[in-house]
Amino acid sequence: MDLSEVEKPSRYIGGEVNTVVKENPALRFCFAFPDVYEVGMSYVGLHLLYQMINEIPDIAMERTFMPWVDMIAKMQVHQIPLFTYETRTPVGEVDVLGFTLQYELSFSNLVKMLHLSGIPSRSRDRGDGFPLVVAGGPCAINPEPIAEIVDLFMIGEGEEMMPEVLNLAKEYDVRSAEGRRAFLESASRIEGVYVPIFYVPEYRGEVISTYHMFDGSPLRKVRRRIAKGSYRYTKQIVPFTEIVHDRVSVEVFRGCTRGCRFCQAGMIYRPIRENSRDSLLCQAGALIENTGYDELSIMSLSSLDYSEVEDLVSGLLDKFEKEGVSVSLPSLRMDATSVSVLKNIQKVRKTGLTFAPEAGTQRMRDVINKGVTDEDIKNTFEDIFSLGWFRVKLYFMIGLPTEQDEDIEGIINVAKRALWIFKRVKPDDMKKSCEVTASASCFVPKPFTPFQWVPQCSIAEFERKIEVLKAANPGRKITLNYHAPLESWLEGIFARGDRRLSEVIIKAVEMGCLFDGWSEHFKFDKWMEAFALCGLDPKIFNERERSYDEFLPWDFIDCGISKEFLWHEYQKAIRAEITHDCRYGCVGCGVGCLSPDGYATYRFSDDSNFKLKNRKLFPIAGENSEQKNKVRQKDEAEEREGRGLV
Amino acid sequence: MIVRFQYTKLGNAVYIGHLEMTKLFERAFRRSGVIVKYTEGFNPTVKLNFASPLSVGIESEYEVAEVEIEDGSFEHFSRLLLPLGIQILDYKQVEKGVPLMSRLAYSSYCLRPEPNQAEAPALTLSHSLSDWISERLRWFSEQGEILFEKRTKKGSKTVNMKAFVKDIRLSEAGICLATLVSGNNGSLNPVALSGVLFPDCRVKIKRILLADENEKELYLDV
Repeated sequence: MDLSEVEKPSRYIGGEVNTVVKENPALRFCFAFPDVYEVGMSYVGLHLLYQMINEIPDIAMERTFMPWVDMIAKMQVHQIPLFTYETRTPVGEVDVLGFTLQYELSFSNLVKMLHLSGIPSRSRDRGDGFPLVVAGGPCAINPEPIAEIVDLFMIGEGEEMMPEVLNLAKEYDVRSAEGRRAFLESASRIEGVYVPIFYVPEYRGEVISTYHMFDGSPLRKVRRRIAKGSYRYTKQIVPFTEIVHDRVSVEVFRGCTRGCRFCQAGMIYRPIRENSRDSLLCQAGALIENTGYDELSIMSLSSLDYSEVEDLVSGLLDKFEKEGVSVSLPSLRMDATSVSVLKNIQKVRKTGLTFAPEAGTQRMRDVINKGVTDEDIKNTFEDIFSLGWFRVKLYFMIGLPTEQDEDIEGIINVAKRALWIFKRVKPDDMKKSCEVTASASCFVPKPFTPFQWVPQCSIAEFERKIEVLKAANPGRKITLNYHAPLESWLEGIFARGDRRLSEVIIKAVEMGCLFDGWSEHFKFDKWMEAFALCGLDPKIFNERERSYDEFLPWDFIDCGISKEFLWHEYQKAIRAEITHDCRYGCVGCGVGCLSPDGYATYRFSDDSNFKLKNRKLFPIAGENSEQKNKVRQKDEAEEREGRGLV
Repeated sequence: MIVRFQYTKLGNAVYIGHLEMTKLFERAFRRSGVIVKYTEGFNPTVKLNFASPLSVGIESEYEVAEVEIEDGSFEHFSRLLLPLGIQILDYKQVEKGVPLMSRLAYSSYCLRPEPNQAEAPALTLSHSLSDWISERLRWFSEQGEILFEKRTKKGSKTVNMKAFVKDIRLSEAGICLATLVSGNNGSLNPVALSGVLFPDCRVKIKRILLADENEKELYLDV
């Protein structure tokens, strides 16, 4: 087959610098990213796992990605099954096939990739001669929508769990039905592992009332895995084609202490664990040397919260200035630290800056606990514009709980303020005019957040809110972007769905759904048809308000945060009460990051003696009912690019 | 210091586009410690110049490029680590002179048709592949002119393909060798030639030489 007939052929050839090819390994594991190469290769977790797992001598980790539609058509014409990039092994012939679940709208691609590999979609239909199908990543925190498709989920951080699972798989003939079953029984004892066939849901009416174990034993909770050790990757695979995040990244810390109530990542990656400045400088140097990239980004959920951020950034700039390597920060908060760090990297090109105030009014930001004030926003604009920046992009959400039309109009007010402040403070020699882009996305309530009980807006309501937004911006000075609500609405179904969705997803893929995250391929009508054929009302998953007593489909998973805490936060949200950053005092979420002497144990374990003495965390009486959890350890695992934030 | 190097682009590397090649070398230089110079200005770009961009899908045994580097880092050139199919055959320091692209006058290719019965009904079992190629070459030589639409920056214009073909013949090994005009005064893409010469047939194309107007190898000094 001639690859010059497809778009960007170099994304299919493999053989990039830093790839690893192993002949006849004891176990061949294929890591599958259910989106195109340029997206998948931008996921730092892939590079971390690739280096880590390939260091195990007799296990080979290979890669595969979702081919773009033109390539799928070619592969079907030439009868070429999906293959791994390292050895061109047909994916159907590997021992273990592992999907990473980075966003819900990639579920259809996952099923399509099974089709392209000749692997039956439903785990119960896979007899002898098929790979073990596993999955992990942030969306595995509610694995239920694809519970009938995947054999085994790894919930939580993979650094230790994945080698444990793969080393165990080596001991079994996982390509046979019998060997696979024996393996699953044994693997289900690994912390963080969830084997859906062992959990049987019970329904009361339209909702799940509870689960029981297949053998009648009491329901066993699956505890989110938190890795104890850390793994510092020093290599990244260097793609030929330009990818979405074309740079090396170092993870400055994992977890987040801000407690934004809409943010799932801020909840499910707790506790916070920092890497030391020295170890990061060292890792960054190795990455640049091994890849030859000219850009490095520091990555985390809120990089400017890093306790030594100014030292780190100046250290990186000193180290790389001569070599022409630039340093970038993915997302910025609107507060004083941002500006002081930005002054430091000012020498670098003045490209646009991106901020995420998330909501337009103070009340709304208090509801979501964003912790950014009007004063912060004003000061940030004054500082950046007086320093010579002229282009800002602002991210907002619409459809948040308790939202009124004035909150939506507030989005435009924030953007207008940028224009006014620019005029007032811009440098005298500034010839450019101010460019402000406001982007509004539709809010999707996620499991394990304080908003896991709230109804998502209906499509009609989202559309009305978008009209309110447009009406508030009659001029042309502010560029307004908004996401079509259909995708977010479907995402809302998968985010809080249960395993009855497996049939719907399989049906939708049979009817031609794929690349749902790509608006040009998203087929909403087909999805609705699939729901109708399965006799399932989609609105019960996203538009229905849940009560505190309801057993949620993901309640058999212990993510470390207590349900009481989440509910308490939800109640505070309704009253627009804020909860402070837990760096300055424990708020009692239940993850238990306090050491017995009451200090935050704050570092990854190779810096385990380090404690931030000046930031003693005081447990708040009454709220911290989960201190028994405090032995839970802190460490390193999966990476996550701040999605959508540049 | 300017370094001229000669390299191959074979196998799967043919699918790496021209812009991607620039990135690939830039990163390879940084990995090995070769410090490349950049252009001045707001968007600095690496001072790396190729003799002639190669279309995606075409192999090459003979590519030439020049890069300007810091004097001290020449020794690191030997450490360049490149993906499979891209191999540095030779490199040397050269004086600043006429850019490669301006010196280039001819590109030579070998064209290997890979017909199957359905694609090339003219090729019957009684014919060998080389007989068929000779037949097509005879047809080509008999034509006074062959007009085709050439895409240019300003749209497209009709040109005579034959004016761009310096030499075309059957090699001893039984494949087609063609030397085409290439460079600043217009060039002929071998894909266009093979489309006329071997219509509806898959053709494997490989570049074998780049030469100046005296038909001297481009890698050699003037």
